[in-house]
Amino acid sequence: MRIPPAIKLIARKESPFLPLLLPTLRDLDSARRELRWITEHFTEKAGSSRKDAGLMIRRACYLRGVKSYPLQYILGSQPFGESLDIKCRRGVLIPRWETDEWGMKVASGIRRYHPLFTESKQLSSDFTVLDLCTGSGCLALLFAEQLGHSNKKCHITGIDVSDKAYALANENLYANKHVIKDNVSVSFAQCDIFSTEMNRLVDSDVDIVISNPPYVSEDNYNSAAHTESSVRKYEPRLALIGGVEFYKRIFEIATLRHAKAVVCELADEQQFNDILAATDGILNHQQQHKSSWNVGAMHDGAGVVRTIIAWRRDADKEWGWLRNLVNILP
Amino acid sequence: MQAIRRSMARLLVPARSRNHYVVRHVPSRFSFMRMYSTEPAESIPDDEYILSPELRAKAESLKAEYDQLTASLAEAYDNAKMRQHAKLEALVNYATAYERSSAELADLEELASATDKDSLQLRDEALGEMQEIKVSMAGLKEKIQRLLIPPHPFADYPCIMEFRPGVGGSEAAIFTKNLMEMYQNYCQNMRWKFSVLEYHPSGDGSGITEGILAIEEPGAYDRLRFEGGVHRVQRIPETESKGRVHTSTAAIVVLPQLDQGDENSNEAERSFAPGEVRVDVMRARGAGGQHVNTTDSAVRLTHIPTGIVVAMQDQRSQHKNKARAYMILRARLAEKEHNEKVIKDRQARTSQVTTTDRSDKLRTYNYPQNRVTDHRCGFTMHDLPGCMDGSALDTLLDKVQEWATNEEVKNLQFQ
Ligand SMILES: C[S@@+](CC[C@H](N)C(=O)[O-])C[C@H]1O[C@@H](n2cnc3c(N)ncnc32)[C@H](O)[C@@H]1O
Repeated sequence: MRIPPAIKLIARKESPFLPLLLPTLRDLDSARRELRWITEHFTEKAGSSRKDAGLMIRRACYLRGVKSYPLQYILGSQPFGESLDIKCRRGVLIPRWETDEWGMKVASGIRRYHPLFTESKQLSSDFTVLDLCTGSGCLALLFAEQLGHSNKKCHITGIDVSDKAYALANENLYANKHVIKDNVSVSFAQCDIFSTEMNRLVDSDVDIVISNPPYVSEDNYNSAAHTESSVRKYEPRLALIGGVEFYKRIFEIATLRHAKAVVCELADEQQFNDILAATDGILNHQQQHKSSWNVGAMHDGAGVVRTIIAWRRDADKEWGWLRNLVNILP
Repeated sequence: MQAIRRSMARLLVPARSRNHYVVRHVPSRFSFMRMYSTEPAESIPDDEYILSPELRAKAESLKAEYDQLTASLAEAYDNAKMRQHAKLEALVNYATAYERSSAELADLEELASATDKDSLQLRDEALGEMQEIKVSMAGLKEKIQRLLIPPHPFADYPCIMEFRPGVGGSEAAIFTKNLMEMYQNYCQNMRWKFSVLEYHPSGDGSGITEGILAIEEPGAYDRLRFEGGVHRVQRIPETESKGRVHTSTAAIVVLPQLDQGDENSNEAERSFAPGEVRVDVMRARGAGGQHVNTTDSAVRLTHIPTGIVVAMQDQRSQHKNKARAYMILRARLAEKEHNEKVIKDRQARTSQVTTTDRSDKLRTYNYPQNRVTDHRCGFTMHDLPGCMDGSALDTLLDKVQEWATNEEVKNLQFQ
């Protein structure tokens, strides 16, 4: 699609940088907004040197607009949750708004409705969260931020196989430690979730398992209609390509660690159904006996089926509120 | 003190196009207070201590009512009358004290105007005394006004100003931008903290289609609330080749900012019941999730009971856009509720009332004639640049405030 010459003309008149952004951002409003963010960032970074700032801004706009390079890699961060600033770097997936959205819903729900947080008499056990495929650590840190609004002792563990992700998650923990309260502890570990080492690594029970595992199918990865070319070009394959096998493994680990609830991001409704079919042996969601699970799915703000939500039937007292988030049943 | 003197000196500067003098800068009420407590030699401007004739008349009639009540209560006890009597008491005391001071002031003025040598010493003393009386009258005026005109419930709040173009196409968008800058300049002059919440350039980038300003100063709402309404500009647009004067408009909405500007707070969001607000993100259609990486973080709130819609998109953080949208939604609802209450209260009293809120076309900015005219109070200022750069706006705001007070007095009922 060509950009109308009139738009180009207006852009050129307004700022020498704006036309650079147009090939990727297409419309003036988005281009102006990103130019403002870029300008603010590099003006601050360059301090008093206006010449440096100008050069940095030009380069940033070139990368962003002409090369479709992700803005978050250029600016080095993505705001997340309430006030987290998640560092972003090549080799690690950039946090998505959908993850931010469902993470906030689930984490703030726990704080508001889970008996460990709402009951006045101090229940002895601590609250534990396991975040599989943590990447930048964004979800683990979002839960840490939100659960920090209580006094309950919480432990959050994030696992990722990639060393780049493991290193960045630890940097993010350090960079956001002012947001995380004393009652919450966060730790990251490097491990392949399919390995047996996983069993040793997490050796005690957890309350909830959360995950945004790689879920783009090989076919969709290669289709421009599904996957943006800049995602393919600049974000790690390891973080993207995956499918039902991840969810099976996640539910296995959840069962092993006696988790009472599991929430995972997924690609679409089709994948939700595939996951249900593949995990019925683990979840027994069609049976009514006590050890089976309630399962449903939740839309994201754009109306796409985005998360699978499951909780054990015998934990309805603690987790039944999740029902309010579910808008699709099997 | 030096700074104040300098600002007093700036009071009188030649207007740019005419050769008469205009008031360009008046320090705020608070600096006056400081001024006459530390340096009585500075004179107090009339409007600081003189009660408007309307208010004076109102106080006078209430005093008569009070006297009648006193007489009637002396004859027979009546519960309702007793209560009204008690209610009026404070006002009557202040009004009596005010009248007494006013009479004393008149006497002293006579003394002070004496010119013969013998009375010189006396004259100085009279001048000093007048100053003291004026200070006490200013205090009484404040108290009487407060009793007669209850302060706006949101008077002490910071405010939010929203700017949108009206009729006049791209010239209206440019004027909208000019207006928003005018208030930013004003805040800068007043050393008030402010931030731009939303800023949407118009298609060709020369103007804006929407702008939202948060002014963090407590009391800013009271000072600026009468700025809400339609502002009109008359000038030759830059793009106009035939040199014709065009008329365009921009609309301003002024809201009380009930929540702190801190966009990390969820305070505003918590004030809504579950299900009362629908939250939509406005993203391009498509697979979403890991398949795309967008920087779009726009959030739109719809208040279901009223249909009010607020959309925010200027922040990189989705959460901050949402928190700001909630802050503005709450402000709009509070203002709506208040306005409805005012209208209902007035209708209960009389069907014929003028309202001080949101009259249409409240001000004209005429560039060829270098003038700004406020149509409500009829005040014209021949200093358009001073108005637009924020330095002369205070004068205008004073006049509008005066007008608004008088309007309130007309609708007055002592409760
Ligand atoms: C889609 S990214 C999610 C990152 C992050 N949780 C987020 O929401 O932005 C998936 C992550 O899973 C990690 N991963 C892929 N295979 C894995 C495995 N077998 N074991 C552990 N982590 C794995 C990748 O390194 C990547 O960081």
